[in-house]
Amino acid sequence: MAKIVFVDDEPDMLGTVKNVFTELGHEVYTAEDGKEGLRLILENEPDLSFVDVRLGGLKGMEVLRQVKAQKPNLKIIIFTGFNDTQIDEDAIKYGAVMCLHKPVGLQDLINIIEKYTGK
Amino acid sequence: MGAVFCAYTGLLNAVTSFALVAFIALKKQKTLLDKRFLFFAFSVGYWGLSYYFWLSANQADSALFFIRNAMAGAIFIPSAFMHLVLSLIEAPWKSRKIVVVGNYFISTIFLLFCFSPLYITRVEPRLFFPFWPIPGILFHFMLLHFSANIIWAHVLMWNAIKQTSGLKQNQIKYVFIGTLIGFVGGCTNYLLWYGIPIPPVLNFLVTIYIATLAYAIIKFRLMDVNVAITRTTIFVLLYAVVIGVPLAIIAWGKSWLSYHWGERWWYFPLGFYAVLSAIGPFIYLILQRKAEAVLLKEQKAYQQTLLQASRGMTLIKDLNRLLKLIVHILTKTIRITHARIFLWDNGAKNYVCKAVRGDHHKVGDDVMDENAALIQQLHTDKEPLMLEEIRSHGLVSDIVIGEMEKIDAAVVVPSFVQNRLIGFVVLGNKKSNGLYTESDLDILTTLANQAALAIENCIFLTEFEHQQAHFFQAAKMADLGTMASGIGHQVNNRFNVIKLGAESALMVELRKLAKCLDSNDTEVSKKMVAALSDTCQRIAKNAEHGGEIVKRLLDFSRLAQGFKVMDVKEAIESSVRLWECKHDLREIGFQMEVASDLKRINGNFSEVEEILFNLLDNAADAIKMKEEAVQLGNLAKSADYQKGAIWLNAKNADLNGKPYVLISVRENGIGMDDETQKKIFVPFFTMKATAIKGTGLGLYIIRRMVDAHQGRIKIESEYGKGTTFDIYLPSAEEN
Repeated sequence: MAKIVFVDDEPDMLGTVKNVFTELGHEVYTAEDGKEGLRLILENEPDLSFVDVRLGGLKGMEVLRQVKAQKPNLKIIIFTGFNDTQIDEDAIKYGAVMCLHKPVGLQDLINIIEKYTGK
Repeated sequence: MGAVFCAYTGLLNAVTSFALVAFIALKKQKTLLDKRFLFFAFSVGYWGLSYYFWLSANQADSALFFIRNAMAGAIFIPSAFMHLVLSLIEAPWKSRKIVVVGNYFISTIFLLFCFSPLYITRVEPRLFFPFWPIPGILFHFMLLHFSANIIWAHVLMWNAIKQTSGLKQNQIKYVFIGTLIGFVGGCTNYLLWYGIPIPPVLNFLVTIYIATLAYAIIKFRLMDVNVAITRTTIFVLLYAVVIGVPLAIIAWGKSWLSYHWGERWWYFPLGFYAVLSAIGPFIYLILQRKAEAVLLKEQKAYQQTLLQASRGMTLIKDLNRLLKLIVHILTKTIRITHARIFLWDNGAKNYVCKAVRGDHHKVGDDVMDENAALIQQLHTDKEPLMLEEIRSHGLVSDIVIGEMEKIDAAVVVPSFVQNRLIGFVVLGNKKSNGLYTESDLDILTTLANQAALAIENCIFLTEFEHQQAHFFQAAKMADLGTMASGIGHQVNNRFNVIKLGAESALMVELRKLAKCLDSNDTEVSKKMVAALSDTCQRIAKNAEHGGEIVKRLLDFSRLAQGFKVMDVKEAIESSVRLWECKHDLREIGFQMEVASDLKRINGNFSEVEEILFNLLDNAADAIKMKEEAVQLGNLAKSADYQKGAIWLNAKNADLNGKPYVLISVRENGIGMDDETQKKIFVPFFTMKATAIKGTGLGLYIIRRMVDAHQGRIKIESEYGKGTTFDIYLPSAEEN
């Protein structure tokens, strides 16, 4: 059982992942915009966070940087629907553990969560 | 004195004739008429020369000898002349042969007896001539032969004039008139033979006659005979005055003048002469112009029309319309049977008839190969070809003549643009059967060359429009390219939800449901069913959204369909929908207002979409640039700082009294200073720094497209505050 935070501007996406991972026995928090997401992460200190690059208000990369500035131990994965390799580079540069490209399969997510949280 | 004068007229006749003989003999290509004329002129020359020697003779013997020689020449003159006339009027070969052979036979018989007293018995003084011949028996027959032929030749020519037209008729007229003059002059010789005491004063007219005949036969493009007569008459009358008046003064005023001026009396007539001969040429020109204005009134009228038409031709942009106009003008103004235009077809590599007007059943071939003899001839001459002319003068091969007949051409006028024969105009005969004069052909050449320019213009414009259409389409596709990542992101998001939803249904809910069915746990199964419904709904919704995005993209990338009456509102909507895919509207405020009574415009739907898309795109970029500038500290944040926003407004408007549709795109982005405003429409000029990728062609494209729609662009901008673009497109509907 891991503590996971999802930050994405697509509510459908959040709804789906919340359902699935709660069913699988994890503790899931979701936020739709960057500011809210940042607050959730800093407050709850999740084992793994998934942050989409494109967010309203505070952007995904900004969230990543601020989290890393304040709580560098927290693991963040950057999510994106873009094909831009620049995002991959920036994500690693700012301290994300990896960059995920949408669409992503459920099994992949499960594997990733296991890999980085051991749960 | 009188005898000497007459002798010299004979010499003059001889010199003129022999000179012409030499001229024709030296011509490289002799026509049939040239050859006939040679023998005739030679006969006349021989007669003239002997005539001179006869009248200059000091003794009876030599006088007799020379007059017999002169008559030897004179014997062949009627035969040679008849031969010439029969060729001229193109009499049928059979009858020609009989007459010609018969004539020469008779002449030969006369010649045999020429030096015998049967012909000329002796010489004796008559009037002021020391040695005038007395006719023998045979002489009377010769004179009969002579007269019969001359009279008969004239009758034939008169008939021919009535039956022919154009060039031939003109030519025969010259010969007829010349002959009349000449033989009248020459016949004054015979008077004294029969004791009529009139000296051969008009002998010199024979010279004029020979010259006229030579002109009619040799000259390639004869002046219209009426014009020639008019000009000659004016000339003769005028110079009769110029020379006659001073002479008259000398003759009759001498005593009176000597009385008043003494020694220097001759200053007066000299003065007159000087003045008259100075103003003579000018008066000649004035009189000639006036006479020809009347004589050639009709011709001048249509020539004016043709000139005016040629000037207006370059204004026409549609090729077919231009060609139709040209053939119409030609047939109507010159009143010809038909006119056709052949243009070079670069695809088929030959000349194709592109326009025709007139009597269709006579039209002939429609295609001419580039290697045809006629085309080569046009390239060589670079001048109009007249069928009648080239037929009669034999300067051009028979193949060319054949080809001209095949396309039923009386005249072919080439059209050159910088040494390229881009086409030619085929003209039929004039309905009046008149001939094509030199000035006609000049005007036609001018018209053809103007037409060539106008035609090239049209072709160029058509190609240019094609290219422009391609260019616009390419620009639009390039813009769509920049959308790719934005659209990709959107679509990926949809798929993400669909995929995760389906997989979660499979891995979690369905599995649990299966377990519930086994264990009969209704509560959990109900929960699972509910969850599954949610998931499925989500999947369906996102699939639909995905489809929407694709549709917007496809709508926008439709191929341009040319100019039609269209609804601006539709274009706005499709552009905005697609644009929204690219830019995050949470970041940028967007307000759109389209008037419900928005008029329709005549436009290219695809291009209008592109204009709108570009404007919105630029607006979004301008806002981003402002944010960047503020962040970087380059721009002070003003007191009334607002979030970046775009307003799109479409309504009917008036510009210079005409109805337009006004599309306004306003943003409060970075704005432009005056310097920048001047440069923005230059291609590849871009204000976008940093990561915003673009081609820099946006506003250049907008400008070109708006021009193509005959619209206007107005800009209002202030650096740091924002920009408003106003696009005016002419409305297709009247008020």
